[in-house]
Amino acid sequence: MQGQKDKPLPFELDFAASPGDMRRALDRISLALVAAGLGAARLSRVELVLAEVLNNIAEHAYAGQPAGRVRLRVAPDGDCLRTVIRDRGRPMPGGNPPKAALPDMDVPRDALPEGGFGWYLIHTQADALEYRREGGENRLELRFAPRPGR
Amino acid sequence: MELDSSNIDGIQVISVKVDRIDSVSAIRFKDAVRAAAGEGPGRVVLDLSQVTFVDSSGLGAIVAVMKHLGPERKLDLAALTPEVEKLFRLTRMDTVFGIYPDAVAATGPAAGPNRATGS
Repeated sequence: MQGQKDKPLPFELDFAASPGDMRRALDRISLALVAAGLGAARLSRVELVLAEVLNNIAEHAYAGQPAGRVRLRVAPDGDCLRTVIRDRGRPMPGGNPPKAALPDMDVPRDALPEGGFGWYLIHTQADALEYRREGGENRLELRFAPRPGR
Repeated sequence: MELDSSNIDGIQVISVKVDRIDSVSAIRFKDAVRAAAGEGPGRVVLDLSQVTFVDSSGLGAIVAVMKHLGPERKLDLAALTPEVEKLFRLTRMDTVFGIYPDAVAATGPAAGPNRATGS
Protein backbone atom coordinates (compact mmCIF):
# COMPACT_ATOMS: atom_id res chain seq x y z
CA MET A 1 0.00 0.00 0.00
CA GLN A 2 1.08 3.52 -0.69
CA GLY A 3 0.25 6.05 1.98
CA GLN A 4 0.18 9.77 2.53
CA LYS A 5 2.97 12.13 3.44
CA ASP A 6 2.03 15.06 5.65
CA LYS A 7 -1.53 16.05 4.89
CA PRO A 8 -4.13 13.32 5.51
CA LEU A 9 -5.91 14.08 2.22
CA PRO A 10 -5.84 13.44 -0.67
CA PHE A 11 -5.24 9.82 0.04
CA GLU A 12 -4.67 7.02 -2.42
CA LEU A 13 -4.40 3.30 -1.84
CA ASP A 14 -3.77 0.36 -4.13
CA PHE A 15 -4.66 -3.00 -2.60
CA ALA A 16 -5.98 -6.46 -3.34
CA ALA A 17 -9.73 -7.15 -3.19
CA SER A 18 -9.12 -9.70 -0.42
CA PRO A 19 -10.90 -9.53 2.93
CA GLY A 20 -7.75 -8.71 4.91
CA ASP A 21 -6.45 -6.04 2.53
CA MET A 22 -9.86 -4.45 2.21
CA ARG A 23 -10.28 -4.21 5.96
CA ARG A 24 -6.81 -2.68 6.34
CA ALA A 25 -7.62 -0.20 3.58
CA LEU A 26 -10.86 0.81 5.32
CA ASP A 27 -9.01 1.26 8.61
CA ARG A 28 -6.42 3.49 6.99
CA ILE A 29 -9.04 5.57 5.23
CA SER A 30 -10.92 6.04 8.50
CA LEU A 31 -7.75 7.19 10.23
CA ALA A 32 -7.00 9.65 7.43
CA LEU A 33 -10.54 11.04 7.52
CA VAL A 34 -10.43 11.47 11.29
CA ALA A 35 -7.08 13.24 10.91
CA ALA A 36 -8.66 15.46 8.25
CA GLY A 37 -11.37 16.44 10.73
CA LEU A 38 -14.35 14.77 9.10
CA GLY A 39 -17.36 14.72 11.43
CA ALA A 40 -18.55 11.47 12.98
CA ALA A 41 -21.82 11.30 11.05
CA ARG A 42 -20.21 11.73 7.66
CA LEU A 43 -17.35 9.44 8.61
CA SER A 44 -19.76 6.62 9.40
CA ARG A 45 -21.54 7.12 6.06
CA VAL A 46 -18.24 7.00 4.17
CA GLU A 47 -17.09 3.89 6.07
CA LEU A 48 -20.32 2.03 5.38
CA VAL A 49 -20.51 2.98 1.70
CA LEU A 50 -16.87 2.11 1.00
CA ALA A 51 -17.24 -1.22 2.80
CA GLU A 52 -20.26 -2.05 0.64
CA VAL A 53 -18.52 -0.95 -2.56
CA LEU A 54 -15.45 -3.07 -1.76
CA ASN A 55 -17.60 -6.09 -0.87
CA ASN A 56 -19.33 -5.78 -4.22
CA ILE A 57 -16.02 -5.60 -6.08
CA ALA A 58 -14.78 -8.75 -4.33
CA GLU A 59 -18.06 -10.66 -4.68
CA HIS A 60 -19.16 -9.55 -8.15
CA ALA A 61 -16.54 -7.75 -10.24
CA TYR A 62 -13.83 -10.26 -9.29
CA ALA A 63 -16.15 -13.21 -8.66
CA GLY A 64 -14.61 -16.56 -9.49
CA GLN A 65 -11.11 -15.22 -10.01
CA PRO A 66 -8.14 -14.44 -7.79
CA ALA A 67 -8.49 -11.17 -5.88
CA GLY A 68 -7.69 -8.38 -8.31
CA ARG A 69 -6.47 -4.90 -7.49
CA VAL A 70 -8.50 -1.98 -6.26
CA ARG A 71 -7.38 1.62 -6.41
CA LEU A 72 -9.10 4.03 -4.11
CA ARG A 73 -8.64 7.77 -3.96
CA VAL A 74 -10.17 10.04 -1.35
CA ALA A 75 -9.94 13.78 -1.87
CA PRO A 76 -11.65 16.87 -0.56
CA ASP A 77 -13.67 18.79 -3.15
CA GLY A 78 -15.01 22.03 -1.74
CA ASP A 79 -17.44 21.08 1.02
CA CYS A 80 -17.60 17.55 -0.31
CA LEU A 81 -15.50 14.50 0.05
CA ARG A 82 -14.91 12.74 -3.24
CA THR A 83 -13.92 9.09 -3.51
CA VAL A 84 -12.96 7.30 -6.71
CA ILE A 85 -12.78 3.52 -6.68
CA ARG A 86 -11.31 1.64 -9.62
CA ASP A 87 -11.10 -2.08 -10.32
CA ARG A 88 -10.34 -4.21 -13.35
CA GLY A 89 -13.05 -6.78 -12.84
CA ARG A 90 -16.25 -7.42 -14.75
CA PRO A 91 -18.33 -4.40 -15.72
CA MET A 92 -21.58 -3.68 -13.91
CA PRO A 93 -24.41 -5.71 -15.46
CA GLY A 94 -26.22 -3.53 -18.01
CA GLY A 95 -23.52 -0.88 -17.74
CA ASN A 96 -25.04 0.75 -14.66
CA PRO A 97 -24.86 0.24 -10.92
CA PRO A 98 -27.98 -1.44 -9.51
CA LYS A 99 -30.74 0.87 -8.29
CA ALA A 100 -31.39 1.84 -4.70
CA ALA A 101 -34.17 -0.54 -3.78
CA LEU A 102 -34.65 -1.82 -0.25
CA PRO A 103 -35.59 -5.52 -0.28
CA ASP A 104 -39.18 -6.25 0.69
CA MET A 105 -39.32 -6.36 4.47
CA ASP A 106 -43.05 -6.99 4.80
CA VAL A 107 -42.65 -10.73 4.51
CA PRO A 108 -42.86 -13.62 6.94
CA ARG A 109 -39.92 -13.84 9.32
CA ASP A 110 -38.42 -16.91 7.65
CA ALA A 111 -38.46 -15.12 4.28
CA LEU A 112 -36.64 -11.99 5.43
CA PRO A 113 -33.74 -10.97 3.19
CA GLU A 114 -30.19 -11.79 4.30
CA GLY A 115 -28.67 -9.60 1.62
CA GLY A 116 -29.48 -7.08 -1.07
CA PHE A 117 -28.96 -4.04 1.16
CA GLY A 118 -25.62 -2.97 -0.29
CA TRP A 119 -26.67 -0.78 -3.20
CA TYR A 120 -29.55 0.67 -1.24
CA LEU A 121 -27.06 1.81 1.40
CA ILE A 122 -24.59 3.10 -1.19
CA HIS A 123 -27.22 5.18 -2.98
CA THR A 124 -28.80 6.58 0.17
CA GLN A 125 -25.62 7.30 2.14
CA ALA A 126 -23.61 8.85 -0.68
CA ASP A 127 -24.85 12.13 -2.16
CA ALA A 128 -23.83 11.55 -5.76
CA LEU A 129 -22.71 8.53 -7.70
CA GLU A 130 -21.19 8.22 -11.13
CA TYR A 131 -20.12 4.99 -12.80
CA ARG A 132 -18.03 4.61 -15.93
CA ARG A 133 -16.41 1.70 -17.65
CA GLU A 134 -13.23 2.93 -19.24
CA GLY A 135 -10.12 1.19 -20.53
CA GLY A 136 -11.11 -2.16 -19.01
CA GLU A 137 -11.71 -0.53 -15.63
CA ASN A 138 -14.74 0.09 -13.50
CA ARG A 139 -14.62 3.62 -12.16
CA LEU A 140 -17.07 4.55 -9.45
CA GLU A 141 -17.05 8.10 -8.17
CA LEU A 142 -18.94 8.96 -5.01
CA ARG A 143 -19.48 12.27 -3.30
CA PHE A 144 -20.29 12.87 0.31
CA ALA A 145 -21.67 16.29 1.14
CA PRO A 146 -22.21 17.58 4.65
CA ARG A 147 -25.74 16.84 5.79
CA PRO A 148 -27.73 18.76 8.37
CA GLY A 149 -28.30 17.11 11.72
CA ARG A 150 -25.90 14.77 13.39
CA MET B 1 -15.31 -14.84 17.27
CA GLU B 2 -15.29 -13.82 20.91
CA LEU B 3 -18.60 -13.97 22.68
CA ASP B 4 -19.73 -13.97 26.28
CA SER B 5 -22.82 -16.01 26.88
CA SER B 6 -24.87 -16.26 30.05
CA ASN B 7 -28.32 -17.43 30.94
CA ILE B 8 -30.43 -14.97 32.92
CA ASP B 9 -33.79 -16.33 34.07
CA GLY B 10 -34.00 -18.58 31.03
CA ILE B 11 -32.92 -15.86 28.60
CA GLN B 12 -29.67 -16.47 26.77
CA VAL B 13 -27.71 -13.22 26.69
CA ILE B 14 -24.89 -13.23 24.17
CA SER B 15 -22.44 -10.32 24.23
CA VAL B 16 -20.45 -9.81 21.07
CA LYS B 17 -16.84 -8.96 21.91
CA VAL B 18 -15.68 -7.70 18.53
CA ASP B 19 -16.09 -4.22 17.09
CA ARG B 20 -17.07 -5.23 13.56
CA ILE B 21 -19.59 -7.62 12.08
CA ASP B 22 -18.72 -7.35 8.40
CA SER B 23 -17.93 -9.48 5.37
CA VAL B 24 -14.75 -10.69 7.06
CA SER B 25 -16.40 -11.85 10.27
CA ALA B 26 -20.03 -12.54 9.25
CA ILE B 27 -19.74 -16.31 8.87
CA ARG B 28 -17.74 -16.76 12.07
CA PHE B 29 -20.24 -14.54 13.86
CA LYS B 30 -23.17 -16.60 12.63
CA ASP B 31 -21.61 -19.91 13.65
CA ALA B 32 -20.46 -18.65 17.04
CA VAL B 33 -23.82 -17.12 17.97
CA ARG B 34 -25.72 -20.23 16.88
CA ALA B 35 -23.43 -22.35 19.06
CA ALA B 36 -23.75 -19.97 22.02
CA ALA B 37 -27.54 -19.86 21.71
CA GLY B 38 -27.67 -23.62 22.12
CA GLU B 39 -30.81 -25.66 21.81
CA GLY B 40 -32.75 -24.33 24.76
CA PRO B 41 -36.25 -22.94 24.53
CA GLY B 42 -35.70 -19.40 25.82
CA ARG B 43 -35.35 -16.05 24.15
CA VAL B 44 -31.96 -14.92 22.92
CA VAL B 45 -30.69 -11.39 23.49
CA LEU B 46 -27.72 -10.21 21.48
CA ASP B 47 -25.78 -7.49 23.29
CA LEU B 48 -24.10 -5.35 20.63
CA SER B 49 -22.67 -2.67 22.90
CA GLN B 50 -19.10 -3.28 21.69
CA VAL B 51 -19.98 -3.39 18.00
CA THR B 52 -19.31 -0.12 16.22
CA PHE B 53 -19.64 -1.30 12.64
CA VAL B 54 -22.07 -3.60 10.87
CA ASP B 55 -22.31 -3.77 7.07
CA SER B 56 -24.88 -5.53 4.90
CA SER B 57 -23.07 -8.87 5.35
CA GLY B 58 -23.24 -8.46 9.11
CA LEU B 59 -26.89 -7.51 8.94
CA GLY B 60 -27.54 -10.62 6.83
CA ALA B 61 -25.75 -12.74 9.42
CA ILE B 62 -27.94 -11.38 12.24
CA VAL B 63 -31.05 -12.16 10.17
CA ALA B 64 -29.69 -15.63 9.48
CA VAL B 65 -29.24 -16.25 13.22
CA MET B 66 -32.82 -15.14 13.83
CA LYS B 67 -34.12 -17.54 11.18
CA HIS B 68 -31.96 -20.35 12.55
CA LEU B 69 -33.54 -19.96 15.98
CA GLY B 70 -36.91 -20.63 14.39
CA PRO B 71 -40.34 -19.21 15.13
CA GLU B 72 -40.38 -20.39 18.76
CA ARG B 73 -37.26 -18.56 19.92
CA LYS B 74 -37.22 -14.81 19.65
CA LEU B 75 -33.98 -12.95 18.95
CA ASP B 76 -33.85 -9.47 20.47
CA LEU B 77 -31.07 -6.92 20.29
CA ALA B 78 -29.67 -4.73 23.03
CA ALA B 79 -27.32 -1.76 23.39
CA LEU B 80 -26.91 -0.73 19.77
CA THR B 81 -24.23 1.90 19.20
CA PRO B 82 -25.44 4.95 17.22
CA GLU B 83 -23.90 3.75 13.94
CA VAL B 84 -25.43 0.31 14.23
CA GLU B 85 -28.78 1.71 15.34
CA LYS B 86 -28.74 3.91 12.24
CA LEU B 87 -28.09 0.95 9.96
CA PHE B 88 -31.06 -0.91 11.45
CA ARG B 89 -33.24 2.15 10.95
CA LEU B 90 -32.10 2.70 7.34
CA THR B 91 -32.81 -0.88 6.35
CA ARG B 92 -36.06 -1.02 8.36
CA MET B 93 -34.60 -3.92 10.34
CA ASP B 94 -35.63 -1.96 13.44
CA THR B 95 -39.18 -3.10 12.64
CA VAL B 96 -38.12 -6.75 12.61
CA PHE B 97 -36.19 -7.02 15.86
CA GLY B 98 -37.04 -6.04 19.37
CA ILE B 99 -34.43 -3.43 20.27
CA TYR B 100 -33.65 -2.61 23.90
CA PRO B 101 -31.43 0.11 25.33
CA ASP B 102 -29.32 -2.47 27.18
CA ALA B 103 -29.21 -6.11 28.25
CA VAL B 104 -30.76 -5.31 31.63
CA ALA B 105 -33.81 -3.79 29.97
CA ALA B 106 -33.97 -6.73 27.56
CA THR B 107 -34.08 -9.27 30.36
CA GLY B 108 -36.08 -7.31 32.91
CA PRO B 109 -39.64 -8.04 33.97
CA ALA B 110 -41.08 -5.53 31.49
CA ALA B 111 -39.30 -7.13 28.55
CA GLY B 112 -42.14 -9.26 27.28
CA PRO B 113 -42.11 -10.39 23.69
CA ASN B 114 -44.23 -7.43 22.58
CA ARG B 115 -42.79 -4.77 24.83
CA ALA B 116 -39.75 -3.81 22.82
CA THR B 117 -39.79 -0.36 21.33
CA GLY B 118 -38.30 0.03 17.90
CA SER B 119 -36.20 3.06 18.60
